[in-house]
Amino acid sequence: MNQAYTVPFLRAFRQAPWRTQTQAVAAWAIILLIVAVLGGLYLSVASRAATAGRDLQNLELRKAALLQGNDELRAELARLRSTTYLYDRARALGFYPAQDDQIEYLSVNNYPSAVLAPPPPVAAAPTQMAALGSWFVETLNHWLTGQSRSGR
Amino acid sequence: MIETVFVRLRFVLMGLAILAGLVVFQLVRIDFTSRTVEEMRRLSDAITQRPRTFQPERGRIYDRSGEMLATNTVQYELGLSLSFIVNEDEVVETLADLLDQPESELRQRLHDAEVHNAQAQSEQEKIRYLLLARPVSGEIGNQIKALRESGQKRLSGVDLTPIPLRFYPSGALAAQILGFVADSYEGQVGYFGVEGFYNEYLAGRAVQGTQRDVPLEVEPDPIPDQGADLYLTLDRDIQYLVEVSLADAINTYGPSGGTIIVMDPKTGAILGMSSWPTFDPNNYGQNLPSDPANPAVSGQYEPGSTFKILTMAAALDSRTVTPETPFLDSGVAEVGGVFIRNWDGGAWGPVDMNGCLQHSLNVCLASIATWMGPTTFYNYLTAFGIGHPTSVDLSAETAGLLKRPGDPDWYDSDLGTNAFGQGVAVTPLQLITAVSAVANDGEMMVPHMLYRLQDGLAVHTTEPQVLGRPIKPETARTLSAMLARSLEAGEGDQALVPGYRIAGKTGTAQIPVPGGYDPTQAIASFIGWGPVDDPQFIVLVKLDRPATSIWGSETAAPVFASLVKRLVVLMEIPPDAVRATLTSQ
Repeated sequence: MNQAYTVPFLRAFRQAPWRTQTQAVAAWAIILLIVAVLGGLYLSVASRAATAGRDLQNLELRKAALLQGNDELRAELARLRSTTYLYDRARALGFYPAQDDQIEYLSVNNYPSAVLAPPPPVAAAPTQMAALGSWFVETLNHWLTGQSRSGR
Repeated sequence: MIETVFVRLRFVLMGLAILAGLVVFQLVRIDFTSRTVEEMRRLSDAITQRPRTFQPERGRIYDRSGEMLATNTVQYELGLSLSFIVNEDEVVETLADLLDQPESELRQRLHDAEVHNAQAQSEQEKIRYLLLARPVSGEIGNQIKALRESGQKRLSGVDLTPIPLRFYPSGALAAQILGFVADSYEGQVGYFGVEGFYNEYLAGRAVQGTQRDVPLEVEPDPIPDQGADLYLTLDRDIQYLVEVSLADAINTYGPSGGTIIVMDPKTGAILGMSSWPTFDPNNYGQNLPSDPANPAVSGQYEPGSTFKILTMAAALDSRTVTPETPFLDSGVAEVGGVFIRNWDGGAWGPVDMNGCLQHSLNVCLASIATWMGPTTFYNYLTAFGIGHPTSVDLSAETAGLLKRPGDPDWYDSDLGTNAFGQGVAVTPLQLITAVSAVANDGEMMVPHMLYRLQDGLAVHTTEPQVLGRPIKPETARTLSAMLARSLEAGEGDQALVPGYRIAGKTGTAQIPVPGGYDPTQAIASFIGWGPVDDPQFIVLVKLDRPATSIWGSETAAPVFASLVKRLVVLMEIPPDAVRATLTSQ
């Protein structure tokens, strides 16, 4: 009995025009929602990328400005340390070059001479090649004769 | 009624759907039709990005102890973007004040531009950018920036474009060694000196990149290969001493020019080098000499009596003579049909080789050359590097001139004249390099200016190289002793430095002119080294056409002495007696 009433009711429910419309609206709403979410995500990512890009541009500009500032400071420092400037300042302060009879020489062990201390060493490349060659000969000799390199 | 509304609404919706469909279709067409995509991308790129060359920073130059000799700074191009000017009065007043120009002049230029734009037939003809000044100092540029950033002045429309500037903090110091840098279409290019010779290393390598204006596509700027930093063998204080000494010599003796070189004979390292006239590389355009090449490496001259050192070295080394070999000076010698006389025209009678050097006898040295014969003599001169570049790392080096037997312009008489430095041309650096063999136990080192090259983290150090061994060590020591003795007893005693034993030789060289030699003017020079028992320096002084006296013994020799008195202090070389005491302790 109940089943006889239920079937027509369900059919009627399914075929109700408002229900079909609701389904269509819901489907479109979901699509719209998905599109909105995707759009939102895209906008969010794009805006973040744009912000990062703008930050990067600003940082590059700042970097260029700082490098330029460093160059200017370095140049000014070099000017203030230049020989001409220092000699003029020294003279203005009452200094003058030491005369022969005012110089006293003292013996200081390992004291590096201002000019002559750092002469670069004479090229050692041929010596290195010779050392490598002798090492090879020595190793080969030990291997052939079976002798230990560390001795007996 | 309601149904009608619904029907119409459906039509509207359908219309909108079709419209949306068209939009989607168009989007798909643009996105997936390759030709359109490429065209659009090209158009987009043209609007939003442009190619840009990222220029490297030029390497800096330091002396051997790290004192800066050349660096980079910035100056600006100052211009106006006319369409962006908001407050013309404020812009004009501010810029006129900073540029030290009359306001009326700036206003007139703006007015002229406006008139031009009003009469322009097309947009292309219009003036959009008005160049006001180039270059403008970094100081003025920074003032404009500060005013704009602080908001004190409304300077919209004022454009400052940075221009890289090579800056030499010591001004004219070492100008001929450093050279200078000029702008070219390739960017900054070094000319002459170290800037020219090492331009490839100093300049670095530019990279091509893209300047993107759309922030979505921004990438970090590409980093170009920065120029390498150079550390020179030059000592800034010695260089200053050399330049001051040369300037004093110019004032005292009135020569038209001159050169001083200080070198370490043991390594070939150039410690100081200067020539007059010089220039300020910061303003090379205003005061550049007609030939900006360094006369120390490119200026050839007949060396005169300083060349006798090489002749005597060859004679001693070939065992043609010994220091005690006697010579009877009759005051004239005939070589190849040419009569050679002494500097004073006199005859000095019986002397030995010490006497020949002491009195700088042309007749004696010419005779010695004939005793050696041309083959031996010229082989030695070639071994000393005469007629060949020294391979110094400075731009525009010349080779000098040495005629040899067999050359079409060589005559028998050249053997005699070459022996005392006539008819042969050398550069100052060539001569000091050759004579350094005598100071350095017969070993001649390659003269060099580069001490160290630093390219990022990579460091390349220059190692001293032997250029040649023209004479034996014992010959060098014998000749050094002879020259020291001759200096102590001869005409060059004004070159002596109290407390230090010095070896050296004066020179007074006639100047060749068409048809012979200048009868009134000469090149005065002195070349010497010390301390004789352990030479730490070799110095060449050359004065062109001194006005007060033509003799090297009266002009160049005192300059040498005065310079060396200060040089030994700077190089911390104690007097011989003190050094002997300190060594024995």
